[in-house]
Amino acid sequence: MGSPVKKIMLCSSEKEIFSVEEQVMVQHSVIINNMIEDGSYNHEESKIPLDCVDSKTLKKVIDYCTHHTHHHNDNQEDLEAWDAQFLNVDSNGLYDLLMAANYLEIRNLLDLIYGTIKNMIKGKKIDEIRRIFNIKDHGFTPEEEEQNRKEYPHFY
Amino acid sequence: MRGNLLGTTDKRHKHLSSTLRILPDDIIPEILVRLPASSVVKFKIVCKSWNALISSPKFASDHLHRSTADPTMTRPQLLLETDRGFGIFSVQSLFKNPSPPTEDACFQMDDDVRILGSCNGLFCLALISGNRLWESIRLWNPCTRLASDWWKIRQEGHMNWGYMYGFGYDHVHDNYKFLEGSWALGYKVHTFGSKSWTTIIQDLPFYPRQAIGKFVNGTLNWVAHTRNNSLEWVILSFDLANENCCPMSLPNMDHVDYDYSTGAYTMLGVLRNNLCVCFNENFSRLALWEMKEHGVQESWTKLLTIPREHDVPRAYEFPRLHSFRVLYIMENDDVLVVYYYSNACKLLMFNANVGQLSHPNLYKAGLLNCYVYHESLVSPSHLGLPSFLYGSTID
Repeated sequence: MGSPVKKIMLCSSEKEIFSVEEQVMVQHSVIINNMIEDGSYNHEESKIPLDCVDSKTLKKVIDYCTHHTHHHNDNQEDLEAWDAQFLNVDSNGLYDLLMAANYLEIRNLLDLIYGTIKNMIKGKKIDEIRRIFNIKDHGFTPEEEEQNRKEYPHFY
Repeated sequence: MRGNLLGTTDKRHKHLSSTLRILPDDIIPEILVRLPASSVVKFKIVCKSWNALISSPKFASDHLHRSTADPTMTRPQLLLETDRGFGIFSVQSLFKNPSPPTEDACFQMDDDVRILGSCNGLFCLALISGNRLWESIRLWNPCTRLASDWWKIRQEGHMNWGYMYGFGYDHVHDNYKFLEGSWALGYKVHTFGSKSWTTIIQDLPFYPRQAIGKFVNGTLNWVAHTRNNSLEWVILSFDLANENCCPMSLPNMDHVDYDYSTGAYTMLGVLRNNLCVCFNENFSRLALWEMKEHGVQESWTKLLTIPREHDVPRAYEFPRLHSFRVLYIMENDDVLVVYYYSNACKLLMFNANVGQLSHPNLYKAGLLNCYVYHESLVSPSHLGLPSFLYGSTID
């Protein structure tokens, strides 16, 4: 008979507490793994404050880590389909997930999001890229910009 | 599974057409480094900070490592060297639609240039003078179109019999080197970005079958025979890091009619970063061997045999006097081969599993040579050399 599943507490920016299997977070998040390993997390009292992650995003991150812990033996196609469904979010949701995965250092989730943004911009025109990345000031002088537009008209 | 996914795309990827909030600076390289070189190079004109990022040596090096580790990221390109310029094709589309293949790009240079070698997406070019000889070399990246200045490395004069040269990357010292010389003249190693050269004192008692050396795993390699026995064929392997040369054995071919011609018409190729050779076996079939572990004689493995009936068309047949060089192998064992006869060459493709041969209609008068390479962002400026745009594209 195994001991009860060890849990840890995560606290979102709205101070909402999420109780998660320790193993799930340790496996995926470098930061949480380090906290558990160096003993800075006390199972009796500690809550891990994630001030820059809101409840909605934290719930998604926990979903991701839980699914990938319990389904890592699934075939590649099923996992990819699950990931695609998981990332079916609007651009704000994608941005929040990216920031959370970056903060918690969840490598495979980061890879997934980077790959998604890469696919958003692959083969796109320069004006579209500027819109997607919200680049208001490209930093080129009007002369440089005009020169580029003249030289590579089909890129814009 | 895929069908389901595609069927519901209209409901998916809500983010596809939206604007992201402004990303922190350290996130941008993580995204751009995942794009193929040909895509990311176009993004230099998105904004000034992307231009600086994409042009930096650190980014080029990260990008190179990533695309070397993941071959699906930067697809192989075929460069055809002709009298009129350099034609560039995607190898993938060549296999899909061999005839007529369409060029991705065609470059014309102001000078009369020849290619002396290629590695990490960089080409080493030579400036051909009126007497068909060359003394100066430069680096050129067809993806970024950036080149270095001409660099005179040789005295004018004839290239002796047994002259050999090669271009490659020394991963230990992180620099690009060019080796050239002959038994009579001696051998020199020139390092790009440094004005000096080193002279190789080691005597190399070999004559190469071909002047140009094949770069693989930090070494340059030639098929050569020993100076005192023209029937004794070896692979001469020059280590660019320790600038030392050692002979390696060709595959053991006890069961094959092994004579002078076997060595004389053997050309080295590179597949999956391993040396390989293509033999005419018993004059009845072609055999392709791969050296799975560089320098280990026991690791020579016969990859495939192509029966003679699937060989070259009769019109081109010179039973004993032709050479084959393997250019690329696809994941499904489709092989791209260049076939040399008389003073010309032709591209052949076959599938190793089916034994089927197809001929892309690529042969054109004046086809001098061809190279398969992976595009990169490595620039001569990263080696401390001034760089500028070189070559004009013809549509």
